[in-house]
Formats: sequence, C-alpha cells, structure tokens
Amino acid sequence: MAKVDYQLAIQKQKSGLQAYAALCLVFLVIVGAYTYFKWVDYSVFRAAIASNESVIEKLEQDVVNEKSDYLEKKSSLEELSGEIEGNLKTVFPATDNYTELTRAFDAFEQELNRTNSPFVISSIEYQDAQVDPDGNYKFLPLRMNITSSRDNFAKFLRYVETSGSILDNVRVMDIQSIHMSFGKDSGDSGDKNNVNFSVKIHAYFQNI
Amino acid sequence: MQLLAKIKEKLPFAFGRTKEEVEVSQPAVVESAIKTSEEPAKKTLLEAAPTVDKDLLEEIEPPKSVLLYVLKSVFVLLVAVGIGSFLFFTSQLNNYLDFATNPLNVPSALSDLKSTNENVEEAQTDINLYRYLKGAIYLDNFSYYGDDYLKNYSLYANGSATDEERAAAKIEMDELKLDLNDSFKAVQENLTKEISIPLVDTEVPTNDELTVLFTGLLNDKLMSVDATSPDYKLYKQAQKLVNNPELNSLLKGTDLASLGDADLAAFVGEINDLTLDEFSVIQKIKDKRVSWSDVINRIEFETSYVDQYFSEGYFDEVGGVQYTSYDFDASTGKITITGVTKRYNTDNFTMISNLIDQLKSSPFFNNVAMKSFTKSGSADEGYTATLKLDLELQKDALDSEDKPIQAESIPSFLTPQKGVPITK
Repeated sequence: MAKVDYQLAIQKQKSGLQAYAALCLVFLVIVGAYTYFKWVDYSVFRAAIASNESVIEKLEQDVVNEKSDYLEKKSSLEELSGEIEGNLKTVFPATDNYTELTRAFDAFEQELNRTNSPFVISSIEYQDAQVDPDGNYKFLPLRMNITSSRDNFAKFLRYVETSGSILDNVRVMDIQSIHMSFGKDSGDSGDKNNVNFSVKIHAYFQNI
Repeated sequence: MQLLAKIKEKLPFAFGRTKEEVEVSQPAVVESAIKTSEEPAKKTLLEAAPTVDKDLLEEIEPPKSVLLYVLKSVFVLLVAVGIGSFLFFTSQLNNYLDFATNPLNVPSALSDLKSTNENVEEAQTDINLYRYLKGAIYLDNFSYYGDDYLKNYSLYANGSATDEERAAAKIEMDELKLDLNDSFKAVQENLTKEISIPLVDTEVPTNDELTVLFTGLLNDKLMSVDATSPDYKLYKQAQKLVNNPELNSLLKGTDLASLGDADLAAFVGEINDLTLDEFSVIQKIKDKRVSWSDVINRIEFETSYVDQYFSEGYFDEVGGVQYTSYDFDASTGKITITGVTKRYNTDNFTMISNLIDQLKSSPFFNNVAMKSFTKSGSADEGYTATLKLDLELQKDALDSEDKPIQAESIPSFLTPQKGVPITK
C-alpha cells in the first residue's frame, strides 16, 4: 500500500510539474500578448502626445504673431474705424434724432437756395416713429413741402436717393411718395421752371 | 536514504532484491546445520522475523523537485508581471485609476493626451479669434469703401445724371476699386483659412465634427468679451462672421479684380447683406429704395418717343405733351401723372393713346391706364386735352437696369412721332 502511495506522490509531482509548465506557458502567452498590444496602444498615445506638444509649440508662436498683427492693424486702422463709427451715428443713429435731421435739411436748403434757383422748405412735419415689420430697423416718417427750381428738385431727389453713405455722412432716407406740380408759364412768379412738391420721407434709425 | 537501506536489509522478502540474492545471502553455518542434522523439530533458530512498521513507509515522500519550484516561481513572477502590466496600462490608457494616480502626480497617457489636445484647441481658437477680429476690421473697411462705391455707381448708372457727374463718379469708382481690392484680399486671407486643426483622440473626429468643435470654441471666446470693453462691438461683429457659410463661400469663390462695375456693385451689396451689421441693414434699406429721379427720367424718356420736342420749351408753339404734376407712391408702386396735350390738328387723343402704348411697352411700367378723354380748344389756339395717366412701377426691372439710357439703344421698331409744325 505504501508503495502505491509513493508512486502516486511521484506521479503527482510529475503532474504538478506539467501543470505549472503549462500554466507558465499560458500566462506567458497571455501576459506577453496583452503587454504587447497595450504597449502598441501606449506608444500611439505617447507619439500623439509628442506630436501635440510640437504642434502646441508652433501654434503658440502663431498666436503671438496673429495677436501682434491684429493689434498693429487695429491701431493703424483706428482712425478710419473711428470715422466709420462716428459717421454711422449720423447716418444710422441709435435714436430718431430728428433735431439733427432738421438741421441737416436746413443746411442742405442753405446750400441750394439761390435767388435764381430757389429751394425753400416751407414745412417739415414729423410723425411717430415706427418699427420695420421684420424688426431690422425703425423709421421716422416725415412730410415736407418744398418750392424749388427743377435743378434743385433733381438735386434734392439725388440727395435723398444717395443718402446713407458713410462717407457723405447723410442720414439714410427713402422717399415714400411725391406729389409734385410744375409752375405755370403764366404764373405770378413767371417761372415755369419752379416745382412745388410735397414729399413723404422715411428717415431710418437703429432698432435697439 | 540510510534509513531506507537499513530497512531493506532487514526485510525477509525480496524488496528490491532478486531471489538468488536472497538465497545466496544465507550464512554457511546455517546451511551446514541444515544438511547434517535430522529433520529438526520445527524450532526456529532465530527469533521471529521483525515486523515492518508500515506506518514508517507511509511517511516517506518522493524527493522535492527543483524544477517544480522553479516553475512555481516563474508562474508567480508571470502573475505579478501580468498584474503589473494590467495596472500600468489600465492606469495609462483609461481613467479608471485616476483616483490613485492623480494624488501621486502621475497622470495617465490618456489624461496627457486630453490635456495636450485641450492646449491645441485653445491655441488654435486664439489664432481663429485674432483672424476673425482682423477679418471684421477689414470687412468694415470693405463696407466703407463699398458704400462709397455704391453711391458713385448709382450716380454713374443713373440716367438723370449729367455727363460730368457720371464721369466724376467713374473716376471715383476706379480709385475705390483699388481700396476695395486690398480690403477684400485681407478679408479673404483672414476669414477663409481653415478654422480647425486635426486632433488625435481615442475616437478620431471627422472634419465636420472638428469644424463644429472649433466654431463652438471660437463663439464661446467671442461671447466672453465684457460688454464694457472698448472692443465689444468688434467682437460682436466678428461673431456674426463665424459660421457664416454663405459669406465664406462668397469670399472663397470671388476674384474681385475680374469683376466689372455692375458686378462689383452687386457683389458689395451681397457682402453687405451677409455681414449682418449696420452696413447690412443700411444696404437692405437702400435695396428697397426707389430711385424716383430715375423713374421721372424713364417717363420723360418714353414721352420723348411720342413728343419729339418734349420738355424743350416749344409746347406753346408746336404743341405736344406737358406734365403738370406727378404722384409717386413707393408703398404701392403707383404713379399718377397729370398734364395736357396740345395739338393743332385735333389728334390729341391719338397722341395720348400713343403715349399709353409707349409706356405699356416699357419694361419699367405696367397697368398703364387712362379711361377718360376730353378735349377743348380751337384751330387758332390749338386743341388741348387733359391727361391723367395711372401706371404702376416695375421696380425689379428698374433695379436690374444698371446702364444709363443711351439714345442709340432706342429700339428700331419704335418710330418717334414728330410734333406738328408751326402753322401760325
């Protein structure tokens, strides 16, 4: 019986050896494969990090260049930007600013009105400001009655039609309706070149 | 081992020995005694053979295997290496173990990658920010010059402008083109560059995803400006340029230098519409505006087909058409013209009918109507008929007409009706 136990022990030892050898082999393969594949991933990460670091270095230099370029351009164009900003306040003001508009009409009248070529604004009537249906802007409706020579009438039309130019600094306006009648040959003034007209204008301003 | 040998010697059976060996090993004295004496009584010379204590045998183990120890050690080592490898890569490639690695200030590769990606995003967003701010400044300049260009162009294209006015406008336009070109190139340079940069991440983002990401970051940056900052308006303006694909494609696909006068004017208007600032609102107002001086000019032009001496001061002597009033309504597009026609041969109604047909044939007017005709006068003083024409303006046709009226462009099928010669 003892002999059998001994043999069994020897056999068990051999089996143990085989089992451990097999386990070692299996673990070696598993750990090796796992480590290999994870190392590949890890290497990709490290390469990406290294690449990012080099990109960051370049980008940071670009940021410095772009910023200095922006500040330089901003400074050099500051005068023009200021002019644009300033003129926009007249051309497309934040409020209806009708007093300024009235002064502008007066100045235009003074510029055109001559004894042989009149331009006289006999009345200006402002109405309540309204909002554009799309909400893009507001407008101040006004009606003017003017007696003018035909030439000055054409100049007035052009003044309104070309209004809104930042360079000219004229309030953006639009003629909504005109009723005009020409002077008669045998009129009191005897000047058939004169035009009496009533014009309805929209003067625009920002919808803030 | 010695113990084992002793036990073997004492064993009566051939445990580990052959039969001959056992027989040979019997002493000679014993053999002789057996041969010489009679059959002995069954008495044993020696004491009874000792019994083997089998319990002793059970305690015997085979020798320990060194190889087994080595294998066990290797196995343990492999397990340790495996666990170490697992922990290392898990900590580096995932965030699961950040709670343990962060306090040790050993960030994972994943965290490192995310951190460097964030730095890349931040730097690229800063670059985008300055580019868009510059773009907004240059676009403002472009709109400024464009505004002046449009004003001059409208004068140049307006049929009612004098030749001198048109010539001066043309010179201005040519000068402004240079400024527009410079500003436009700068706008193109700053606003058409790629906003995104490739990122290496665990999930590779598509180009569209990158664009969305960087656009969002730029928007956030532009929105973060304080309302009291002097650059607040510029930031807000730049924000309107971000994610403006129409503007972007217009900037990319336009060669400004190759545009003609009319195309350039249209292009400036288009840019103004897309920039969504004050200029774009002003442009919308201007687009809706009716050039009444041009309308009057068109009416007079069409009238000149019917009355050759229209507006030349011969009305009393020659007769013809004389307008006494105009009514224009921009909201409805309706125009009412009143006046008189004077003829010495009584064909006033024909003249008015010709005028109606002439205005109807113009692409700028439709629904021309005058349903009531009245005439009075005498052969000596001439016959006068009142004129009250209702018509509607075709604003689209007026807007599309960008050339001044040229005498040479009069269609051949139109035969201007001569005025009646002086008969007095």
